[in-house]
Amino acid sequence: MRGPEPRIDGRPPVGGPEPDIAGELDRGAEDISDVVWWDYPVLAVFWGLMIVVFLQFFSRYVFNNSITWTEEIARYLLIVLTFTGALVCIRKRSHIHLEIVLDRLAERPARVLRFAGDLVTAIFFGGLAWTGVTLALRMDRQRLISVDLSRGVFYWIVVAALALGALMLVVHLIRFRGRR
Amino acid sequence: MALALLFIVLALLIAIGAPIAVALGASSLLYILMAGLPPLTALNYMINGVNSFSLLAVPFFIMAGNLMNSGGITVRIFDFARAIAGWLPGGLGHVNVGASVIFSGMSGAAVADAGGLGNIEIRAMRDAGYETDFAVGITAASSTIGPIIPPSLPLVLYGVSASVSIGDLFLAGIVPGLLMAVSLMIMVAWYSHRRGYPRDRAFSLSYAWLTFRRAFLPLCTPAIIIGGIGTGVFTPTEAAVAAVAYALFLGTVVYRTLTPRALVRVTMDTLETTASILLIVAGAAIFAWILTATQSAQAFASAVLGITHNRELVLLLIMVLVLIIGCFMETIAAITILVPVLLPVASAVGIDPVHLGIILVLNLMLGLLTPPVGMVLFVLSRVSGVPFEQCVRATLPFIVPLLIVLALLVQFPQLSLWLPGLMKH
Repeated sequence: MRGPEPRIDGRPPVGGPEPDIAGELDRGAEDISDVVWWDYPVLAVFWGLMIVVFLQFFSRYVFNNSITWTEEIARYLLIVLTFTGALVCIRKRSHIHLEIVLDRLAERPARVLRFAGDLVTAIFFGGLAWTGVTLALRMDRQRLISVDLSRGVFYWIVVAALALGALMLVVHLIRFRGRR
Repeated sequence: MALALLFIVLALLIAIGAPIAVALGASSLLYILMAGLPPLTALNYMINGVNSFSLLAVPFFIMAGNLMNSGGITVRIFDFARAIAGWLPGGLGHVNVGASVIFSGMSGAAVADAGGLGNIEIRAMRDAGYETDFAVGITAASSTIGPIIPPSLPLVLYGVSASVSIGDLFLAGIVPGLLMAVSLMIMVAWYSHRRGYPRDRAFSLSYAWLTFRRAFLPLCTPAIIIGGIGTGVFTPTEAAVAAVAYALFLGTVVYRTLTPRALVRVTMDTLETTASILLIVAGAAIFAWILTATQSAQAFASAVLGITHNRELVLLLIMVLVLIIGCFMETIAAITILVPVLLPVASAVGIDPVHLGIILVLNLMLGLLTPPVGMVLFVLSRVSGVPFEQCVRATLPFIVPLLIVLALLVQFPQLSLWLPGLMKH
């Protein structure tokens, strides 16, 4: 379903000739050649989320009273993770998608449709980022309930991730024009 | 009219290979623009769709499954299952089902089960001289047990969409999951009898004990998760956290296979799976909101209730609909979109929402085994090198026992509702 397509960062496809759907299983357990430097901030968000939820877990079971801010922060980190992680998935083409139709077409029509799919994705992400600015400006004035922090911070990160995703796809479309 | 366009654009975008999350979101955004609604509602509903504490169980269960799938743990489980059930005629078929049951207590996704364990199972069965068709078929069918026996990602998402206790859903899945295993083992026994499948090496208590000792620590994971939720000590999210903590402990302290590089690898895989699932949840959230706002759910409810008020008949109608949709739609998207539409009808005729959840997920799992969007078949085709069309044909007979279990569940709701009811007292 997810086939060996060109990666958006221009590097060769990972996982040998037949990478598979569930995260390239045949790749060695220590092969991290597909990770680029700007994946690390996103991985950091992931670990931040893990640590926050661990904290809540341990404070409840070990100290017998939960830390109050963990739940709210965890929810907002999950939102940030969804959209920044989506950016990583765009780069690696690991969003869940269907290949079965394109696989059955000749090279030329497949290329046109692939181009169209990327274009729609770019416009969608760009459009969301555009509307997101208004949303983030509105959220700037709202504070979190448990911590003195603006909700806008999380919304701005989402907007930035969406805008970067759109930008990355546009650059890719110009460079490869739907070629495999 | 605009609603028809919504579905056509969705289908077109999915067909041309756009990410499913984008297809859902972009078609919804187009509808919002045409309806003259403020465009920022789209992003707002997407963000609200993933703003849920229960959804935090998703990354943790994926992480636990990925950690368990690495470091030779799957091999330990397979060896143990082989020592226990290998001596039966057609032994490796039974081992295949048994290992899937054990692994399903640690992992929440059928696709992960098919990819990790399935690879080992198919290789072992081919080496022992089984036909490829039989090996692929039983591996595909048994991987669908994963999301029925807890933990289960589809059940977490159903619980979030339907506002049903995820703990109850998890407990409700145990008996149906075991029934699926039994039905598949009967199928294996029948095949073995007819085709004279070989036995593995004879049963040896000392070897069984050895493999049990080697698999003991991983085998504790299902006990922690299911036991923790069943006794009410853990919420599902906490059980997921505990499973990750335990898996990290096994990987770093006990087996020492989890180097910093391997940890980055597992985190990266978990991150990608989590983000692609949650973006679908977000995209489907706008779509589901449109279906609710346009009163499509009510229209559907009155259409169904116009035909019949009979509980079994309504359930049958729902199942036929879900089976058809399940063949074309990705599981997570189908759950998020279908629940707001199906739940009002179901509760109108007195179907328990927990029972509906189990039936819905089992239905969608059958969709994973059928073309055109049979995710499990795609994965197995990739890891085993068997052509997709052959995987489809090989798996077809094994859908029959699963359909029988589904029919039993419809007829006897107590099969799923008994255990959560028992735990409440």
